[in-house]
Amino acid sequence: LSASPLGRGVAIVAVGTTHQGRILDRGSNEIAVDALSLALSEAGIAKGQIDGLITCKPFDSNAGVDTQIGRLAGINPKYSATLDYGTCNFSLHLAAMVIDAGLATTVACLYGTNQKTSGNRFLAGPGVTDLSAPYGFQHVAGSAAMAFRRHQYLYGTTEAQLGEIAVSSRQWARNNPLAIFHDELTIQDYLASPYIVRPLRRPDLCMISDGGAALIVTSAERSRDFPKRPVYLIGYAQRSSLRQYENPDYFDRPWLRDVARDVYAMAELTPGDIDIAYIQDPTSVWVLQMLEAYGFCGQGEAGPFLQSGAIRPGGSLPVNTNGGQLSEAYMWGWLHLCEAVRQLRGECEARQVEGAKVALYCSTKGFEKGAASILSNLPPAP
Amino acid sequence: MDDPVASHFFRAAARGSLEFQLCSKCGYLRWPPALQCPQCLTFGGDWTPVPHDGAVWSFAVYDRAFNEAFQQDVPYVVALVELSAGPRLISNVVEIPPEDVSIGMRVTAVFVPFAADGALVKFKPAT
Repeated sequence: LSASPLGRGVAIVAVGTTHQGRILDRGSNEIAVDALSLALSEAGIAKGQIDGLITCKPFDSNAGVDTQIGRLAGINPKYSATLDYGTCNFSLHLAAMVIDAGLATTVACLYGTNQKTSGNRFLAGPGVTDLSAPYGFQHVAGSAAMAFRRHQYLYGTTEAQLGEIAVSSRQWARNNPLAIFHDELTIQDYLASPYIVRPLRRPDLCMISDGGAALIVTSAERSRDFPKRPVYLIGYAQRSSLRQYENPDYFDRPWLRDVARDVYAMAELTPGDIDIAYIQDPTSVWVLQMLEAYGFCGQGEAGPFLQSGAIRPGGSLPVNTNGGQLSEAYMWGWLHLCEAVRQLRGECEARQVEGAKVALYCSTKGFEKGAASILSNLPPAP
Repeated sequence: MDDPVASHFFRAAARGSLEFQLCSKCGYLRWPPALQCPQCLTFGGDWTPVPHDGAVWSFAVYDRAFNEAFQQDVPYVVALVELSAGPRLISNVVEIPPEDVSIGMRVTAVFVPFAADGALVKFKPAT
């Protein structure tokens, strides 16, 4: 495994995850600081050792700004920045660049949200929403439904095949104490649940929740001085689709295949080398699309692949072993990365994937940006 | 509708005209409305009528209204329509039961009054 071409590479040395669900007594920023506190204690360092801070604004919120959170956390890091939308991948990648560039040595990436308690309903769709709102095009369910219907049209994918995603996520979540949803969900339950935006049903859409997560990232070299086994970032890539509807196949996101190509190239790996996969899942359709884009099955073959039980516990490709956003919590993919780190350290008990060495984590910001990281518990080659 | 650039689209629709900004330099027909051409970055562009026909790229059937303004409309169809002129629009497919809408279906614009002096551009099956 090779190091980042930019420098000597980075590793995640600590993660912190707060309670997920409802947090009544604090705002998004305080939740982010709670997550930082948890991560610092796992890292065994004082907050003054953090010399880089990357925060993330919750959706449609003025919270999450570095200047607010730095003050609340009582730190004066050398480097600080705010991302409008983290999905954790974007925050992690910025941290890696900051460290490789020598701007900071020890970077905390934070996200906190009280979006459930504060009543954020996530009505905005993707793209230019002011012109589509008069047509009732609201909520990500609308665009996800269009993407799935298109997949059905092109490849004959069935609703029961899509349902495998929600069902598998729930099976994983049942062994995750952090997850909000533990009740059994069978494919029959799925098919019996009402449509929200046809052809998507309630279990295809993640529920809004409050929570926080934090990562501490440092150079691969320094990472050996921390108490936990380092998890190395061995590949990362991004791509945007900022022209939105001017791009053909907007909802299909064919450009995600370019992110896949680049992330595998940087890690010098192929899809067959991935032991566990994490796919950010505001809706089940993201999982369907990214299983194909990241090469776990052929284009258009996700339906039969899912039907085979591949992503369930015990399947050939464990996916979202935390339960994903569909069954764990709606944390914009941050918990996916925390779970990947814990799996690669072997800490996941009943849901532990034995011998997992390499994890892929892929995410998108709406239909406009995509990012992926490959993580490993094996150090980069010298 | 409050956007001074975009409002032209809705006012043209009220006159039964489907119009987009045409770049005077490179001829790119753009959507969404903007002060500059996103293709060649030239400022300006005249609103230009285009044919009313297109095809459904995909669609979603809202069985649940996320905003109470649409409570009376469920189930309603939101579609991405590719116009033969080029632009892709999010809109509604109307005058047809949701079950009968299909991908690739040919549609034509209908203009539905909206706000004080505008109209929304929706689509119905082409005859």
